[in-house]
Amino acid sequence: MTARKTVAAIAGLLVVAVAVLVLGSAMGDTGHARSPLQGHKAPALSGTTLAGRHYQLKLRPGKATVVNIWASWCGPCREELPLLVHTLDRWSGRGVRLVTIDTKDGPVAARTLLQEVKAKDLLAVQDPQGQLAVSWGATGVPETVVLDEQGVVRARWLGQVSTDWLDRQLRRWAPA
Amino acid sequence: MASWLGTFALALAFCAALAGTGLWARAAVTGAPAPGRWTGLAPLSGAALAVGVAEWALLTHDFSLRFVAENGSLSTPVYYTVTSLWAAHDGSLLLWVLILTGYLAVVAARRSGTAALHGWATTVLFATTAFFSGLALFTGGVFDALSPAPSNGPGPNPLLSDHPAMGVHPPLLYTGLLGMAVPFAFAVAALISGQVGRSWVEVVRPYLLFAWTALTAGIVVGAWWSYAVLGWGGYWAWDPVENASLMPWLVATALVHSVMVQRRRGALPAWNIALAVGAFLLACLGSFLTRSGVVGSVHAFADSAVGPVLLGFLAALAVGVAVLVLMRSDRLGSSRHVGKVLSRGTAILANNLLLVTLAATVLIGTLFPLFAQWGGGPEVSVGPPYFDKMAVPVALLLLVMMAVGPMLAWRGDDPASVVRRRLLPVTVGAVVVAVVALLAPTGVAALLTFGLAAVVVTGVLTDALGRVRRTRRLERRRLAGLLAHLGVAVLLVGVAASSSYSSVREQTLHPGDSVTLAGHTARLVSVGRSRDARAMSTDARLRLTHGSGPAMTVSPGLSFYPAQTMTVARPAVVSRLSGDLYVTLLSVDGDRAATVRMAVNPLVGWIWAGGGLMVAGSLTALAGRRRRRRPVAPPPEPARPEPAVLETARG
Amino acid sequence: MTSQHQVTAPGSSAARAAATDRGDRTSRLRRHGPLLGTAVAVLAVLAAVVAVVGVGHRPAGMDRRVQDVATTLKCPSCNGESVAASNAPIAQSMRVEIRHQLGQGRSPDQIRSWFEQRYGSDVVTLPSPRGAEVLLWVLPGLVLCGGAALAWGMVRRRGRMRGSRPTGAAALPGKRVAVAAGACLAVGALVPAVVWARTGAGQADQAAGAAAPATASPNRPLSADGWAKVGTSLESQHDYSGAARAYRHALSLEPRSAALRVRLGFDLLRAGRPRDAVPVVRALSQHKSAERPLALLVLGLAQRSEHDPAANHTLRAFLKVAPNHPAATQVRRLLAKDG
Repeated sequence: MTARKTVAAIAGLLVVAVAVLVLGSAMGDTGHARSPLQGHKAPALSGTTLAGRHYQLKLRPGKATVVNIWASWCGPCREELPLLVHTLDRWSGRGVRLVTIDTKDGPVAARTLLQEVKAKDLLAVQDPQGQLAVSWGATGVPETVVLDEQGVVRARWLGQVSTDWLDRQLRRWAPA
Repeated sequence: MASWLGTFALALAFCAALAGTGLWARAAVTGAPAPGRWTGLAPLSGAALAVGVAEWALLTHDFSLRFVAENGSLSTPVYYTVTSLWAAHDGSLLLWVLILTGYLAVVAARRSGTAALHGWATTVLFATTAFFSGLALFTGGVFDALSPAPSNGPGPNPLLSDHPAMGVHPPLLYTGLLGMAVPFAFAVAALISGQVGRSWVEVVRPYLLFAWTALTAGIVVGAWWSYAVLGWGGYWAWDPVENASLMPWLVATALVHSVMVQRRRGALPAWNIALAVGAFLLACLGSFLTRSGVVGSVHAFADSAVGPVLLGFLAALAVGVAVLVLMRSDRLGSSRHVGKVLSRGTAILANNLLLVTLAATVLIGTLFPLFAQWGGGPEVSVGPPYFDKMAVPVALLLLVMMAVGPMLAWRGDDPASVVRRRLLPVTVGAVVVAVVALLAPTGVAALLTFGLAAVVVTGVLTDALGRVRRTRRLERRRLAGLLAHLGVAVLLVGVAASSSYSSVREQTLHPGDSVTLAGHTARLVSVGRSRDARAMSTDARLRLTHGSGPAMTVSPGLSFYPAQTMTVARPAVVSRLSGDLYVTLLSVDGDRAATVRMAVNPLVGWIWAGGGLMVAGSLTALAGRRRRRRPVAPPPEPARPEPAVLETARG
Repeated sequence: MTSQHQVTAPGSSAARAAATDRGDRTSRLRRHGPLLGTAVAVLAVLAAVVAVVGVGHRPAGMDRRVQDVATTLKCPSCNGESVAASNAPIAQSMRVEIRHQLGQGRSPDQIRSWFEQRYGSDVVTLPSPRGAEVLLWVLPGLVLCGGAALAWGMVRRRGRMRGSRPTGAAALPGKRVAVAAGACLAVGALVPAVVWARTGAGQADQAAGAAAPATASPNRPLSADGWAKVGTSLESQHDYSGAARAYRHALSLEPRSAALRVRLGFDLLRAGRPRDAVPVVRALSQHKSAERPLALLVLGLAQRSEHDPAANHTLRAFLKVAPNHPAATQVRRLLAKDG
């Protein structure tokens, strides 16, 4: 083989090697997808609550917000609700409020569930077509989003939330 | 017992493949006579035994085998129990090995081509078989035993045990993809033995056609299955796994055409080798993408650990062939002339250019998100909008080539003659475009597709009639080509019509409500629930009417499979010659409300018909080949007088 | 109609041949003029029709416009399907939102960036003409141009032969083949080694386990998830002892899973083995966790079957922790019966 061919050979093999290593490295990457909304102002949240009143999420100085997206047909949501209510009861005196979105649900079934978990007065904005959930970037239910007192999205949990995580986030973002 | 027997069978296949590699390599290097035919039968019997044991275990519900415990169930119907072998990665690897050993047995037994060519090709195939059977033996867990055997299992993925195509699509697809290994093996053999001329191309042609037929059929059946099950009539989503089967097909189609140029004119030897190698490499890349979990796809197997090994195999093949090509570059440089500017050879070259560009584009689009992810940039998705944009111009240009190419002479044609012969088809095409533009206006691409397809069809018919009138018969090969091109034109018309004229509507209905779309009305009669051993189902009974025609009842439904916590939609499809009515049940609220999605897809059936014509064409070509037995010795050194050839006219 | 053309032979007849050629060309043009003219006219009319009709064509109807935008978005939790094609509830909601925004008069680009803000850049499948995505348009163009140049070169090269002619079949010597094969094997072994070293086999396992696929996990003994599925399926067939066995297997693989433990307890109870259920859930019932109520319930009922005096205490603890649990009313009735 001539010198030129040898060079071409080495170049070609290098290209193949790089391509393969690149692909191979990409295989190892599992990467967590950060919530795209993190660090930005929270999306709008308004609508009719289960109690029949109109509600609009407004910035309230001195109050951090926990937004929970649930539905009565979702098993983990049913299990999570009492826990959520209980935890937020503990924090309510310390500048934290709970707002929930009842997504793709029927009002009767939703009200029944709230009766069962003894949370009749839970603030639940109805979202029959799922548009609110989409507006909050939800990929499923349940989801919980923590906003600080400026209304900026700070943390997100996909799936059934645990008291530990909630406490940790609220310790960090609730007003002092 | 099954566990032991199955592992033994796989080990037999693996060892026989290794031994075969060694035997045939030694024979090829030393020039000794080739080993016996039984060498090819040994891996085949091992693979067949392994598959047989696995199927037997599945059918007798032997849950002591890990694979059966994960994929079998007492309540799965027999047909889907058989097909559940390839419903998961491990079992599908067994099917892969079985088909590969089948090809190996045939190639080893048929002494086609020269001894050197055949010897090296069989060696390469043995080595490939050794790799895949080793993969199945060492990484596949089909025959792992479970100590306390469960009394039942969850059954296969519901999406894969719902439709009869499950028994047809994967075997066809694997037959097509693995068939690319044979041209690959012969191409490598040509490089090693130095016989890069016509001989290897002659030998490879029947295998190539057979594999192309299977691959075309497999892809079309897969598209039809996707359409029938995944909802909303999506027969092609440019999904990474779908692309993985399309890329080898494009390259194989290019190869099917360019081998003609090497046979007739002796040109493009290096190009044909490159295509043959490329087709198989792309098939292996497809296997890697499907099994490694690097791309998220509704068709992919769950993340399996064979990814790095398959990647290594791919890299090994690429490097090995690159080294061989470099060693042989002096030989590959010489080639004969393709043809004049307006000749069949050049047309085929242009066709190849288009097909390979499209394959490269699909490859770039499929791999781009992976590279972007590694590069650390924002996550990027490449989907149908990109691929459609790129594929449409190529498809249109291919139609143009199909309209003109097949009737060009090998020696060259003069432009006026071409224009004269194509005047009628072009006029017909123009009329079609005008009519469609007036009656059913749509975008530029669709209009051009209809027009060009009409040109192709008219051209095909006039060519066929002209030839029959002149020579009183139609050669099988010419008929095959005409059928295949006809099939492509019909398929593209189906694609253009169904994407331009389709309409969709979603609505929530209460019993008695109806939704209307494009003259079809669907009225919700009732919502029902049912339960069987495998799933809980909800159905919406709808009464369909179309104008004054007879009414029809359909029941699209949703089935929830608790064992896999998966919901599968069962759409209702009403197929007519003019198009399909497609109704999907999206969700149900209690027993009162049902949200349905209704779609009207005109001329979708033409896609399947076009695919069928393509398969018919290639089967015709395969059938014809058997009668003409060409001599096996390498052609004598070309003694054609160059270049002062007196070119005679075409009548 | 015939046409003849001669290739000019070298020599003095070149000039004469060239002149004949020119004459031939003009007469050819005269003969075929009307033909070519018709062809050109037809194509011109065709092009005009296509341009007028096709270019100005915009899909009408809201349904179609929604679908067109939905095709350019990817459903965030459906394995790569587009929002247009997917039947998942989230895709349905996204389509409703698209329709709503189109109705408000927003452009498809605005709608896409709205979704991008909420779901990240990978929800849009239409590559944007900025950043590295330009490559998606540039690279195929390069391939096409490069290929066309190559092809043109091959066509133009009229019969010239480069390099030497193949003189008989000269096979590569065995040593060279061995070199090629050796390179193959080396690369084939190197690549997986490198990938595994970089990612670590453990991490790959973790990733695979976390993915929790709907189909079984391959290449390892049945995972905890797989066993849990077997258990669920057996439960649905009322084979509670079989289900309990399955959950035991699952627990052996994931000993810290409280959820699995509770399910095991339930199945043991239902299989009529309360004594086995007690040690399974006892530890769980003592610590605060999401599973504590269920653990207390199982423990209480198991103790009750064993006539353990601690049963009522446990059941009352259950009622205190989860007064609104669906099973609470029945438990109250049980306790009331006891007095």
